[in-house]
Amino acid sequence: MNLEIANEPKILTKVEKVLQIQSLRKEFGKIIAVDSLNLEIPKGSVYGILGPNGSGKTTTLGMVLGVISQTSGTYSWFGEPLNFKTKKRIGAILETPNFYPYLSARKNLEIVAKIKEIKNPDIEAVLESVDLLKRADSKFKTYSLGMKQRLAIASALLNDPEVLLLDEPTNGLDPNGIAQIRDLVRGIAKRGITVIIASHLLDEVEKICTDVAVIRFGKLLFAGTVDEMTGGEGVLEISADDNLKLKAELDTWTCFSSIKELNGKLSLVLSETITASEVNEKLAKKSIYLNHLNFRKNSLEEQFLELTNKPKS
Amino acid sequence: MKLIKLEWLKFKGHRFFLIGTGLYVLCMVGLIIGIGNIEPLGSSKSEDGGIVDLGTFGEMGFYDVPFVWHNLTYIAGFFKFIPAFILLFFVANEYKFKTYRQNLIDGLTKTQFYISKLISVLFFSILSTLVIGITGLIVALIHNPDLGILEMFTGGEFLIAFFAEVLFLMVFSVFLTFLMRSSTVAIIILLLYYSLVEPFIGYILMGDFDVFLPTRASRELINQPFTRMTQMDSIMGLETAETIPLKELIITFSYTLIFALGGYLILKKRDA
Repeated sequence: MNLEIANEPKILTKVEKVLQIQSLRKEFGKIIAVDSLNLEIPKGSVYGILGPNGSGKTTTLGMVLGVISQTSGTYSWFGEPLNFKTKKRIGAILETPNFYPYLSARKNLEIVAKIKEIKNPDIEAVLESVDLLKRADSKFKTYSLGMKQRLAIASALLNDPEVLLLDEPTNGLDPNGIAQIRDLVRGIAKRGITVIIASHLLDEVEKICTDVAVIRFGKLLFAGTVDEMTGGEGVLEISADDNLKLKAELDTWTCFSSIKELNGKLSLVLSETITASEVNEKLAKKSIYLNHLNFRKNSLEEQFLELTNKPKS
Repeated sequence: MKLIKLEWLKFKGHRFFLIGTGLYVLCMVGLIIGIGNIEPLGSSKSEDGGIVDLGTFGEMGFYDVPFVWHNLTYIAGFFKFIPAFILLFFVANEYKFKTYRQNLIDGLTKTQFYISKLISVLFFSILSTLVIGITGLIVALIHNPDLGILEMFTGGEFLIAFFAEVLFLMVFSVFLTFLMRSSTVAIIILLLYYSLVEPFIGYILMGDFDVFLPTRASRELINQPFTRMTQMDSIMGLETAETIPLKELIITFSYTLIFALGGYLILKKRDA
């Protein structure tokens, strides 16, 4: 259980999860595309799924969207299985934007509205929100890649979803197009919509996400906040015999930006420079003796950069 | 109802599909009306040729009840590949553009998607039968003015056979498209199998079993009507069925059902 205590240290609240994945696994013949993946996506987050090409991101998303059958494992949306009701609460695009090229943007959205059984779809408004209203009646095939991506986002937003799921939304775009998409995503997140983004760009995840899961060869390497991943001034992992007492003490400190409890250990993202021995000394003075102390400085970032930049093997 | 509207939205925006369907209908209507003026045995009035002058199809009694239904459905049978190809492209497009996948993500179930395609299959089969039925009725009325409206449908069971034949081909085409997920491959297999492979297997089997080959029965539903119409049968000692063969009809419907279920299973089993 993850206890988020960064914002309100005194109250330990259980954050609602929009998506929970348990030991999800997918084999394509002998290849294991996704290997016992566990993931929890908290409500209100901008969640990045980071991994190099071919790491199993799209396969994972395909499984939780019900278009790829899993070999084993389970997942749930809002605590329920995927069905028409839950699908209506999700807006998603897998891989490239998929529309009928011979139809206009408006007609394509009419089809989506028909499938989702939206009574009076506000097609004008969603097209306006992605700056496509002027081209609403042009055929999809005449669109540039950036416009196609924006239409895909418009389509996903059509039903006022609680979750927006995007798969490599900036892939193949020019810098201008990338900036447009990122602004859009930030705006959507501000409206309280949980956003899940698959990306192979660390930079992208760092810029727009609050949380991140790193996947490689279908395995989860890391899951946590973006701060924790990039490390701030470093990440300190500590535990004492009495973690409650430890936490109470730490709450009076100001040298870190977040605390998270994971498997009986407290993970602190430092916002100020402090050495492990200083921490140990300060705690010992308060008669708190650590049974575990581990400090790493930005090492993850280098590691992820390395693995995400590695060319597709 | 939702699925019908959905199919219509997808279909009507495609110029090729709309025009193709329109041309198909026009083609059939034009053919039915125009064929009466064709003289099958070359230039007419061959007084010295020694061949019996039969005149045009019309003069031979092409539009006469009850032969008219047999004649029309037989001729129209040659055009059934047009709607089959349109449908095949229509379904293959859903794979090509990955809209099948997006439809599922947006909330459709695989079953709903499949039913929506069966709706298109039914649409084309019914449309084809209706076009033949209505145009046939009109020409029959014109050429048999002294018969009552109910008598017009004497021999109308050929319409049922025609419907079965078209329905079978539509379902078979859609099955192949779901199997192959590519229009080109599906068309090649359809044509090769229909016109080469199966006739060849049929030739080898020769015996009583060839009727049980998948497309065989549907082809034998409506046999050539000309020797019957021109009373050549009695001259040539042939025996052309005067009505549709029940056995073939049942086999055709059975295979239609098998391929319909097969397509469904393929869709269910595979990842989108």
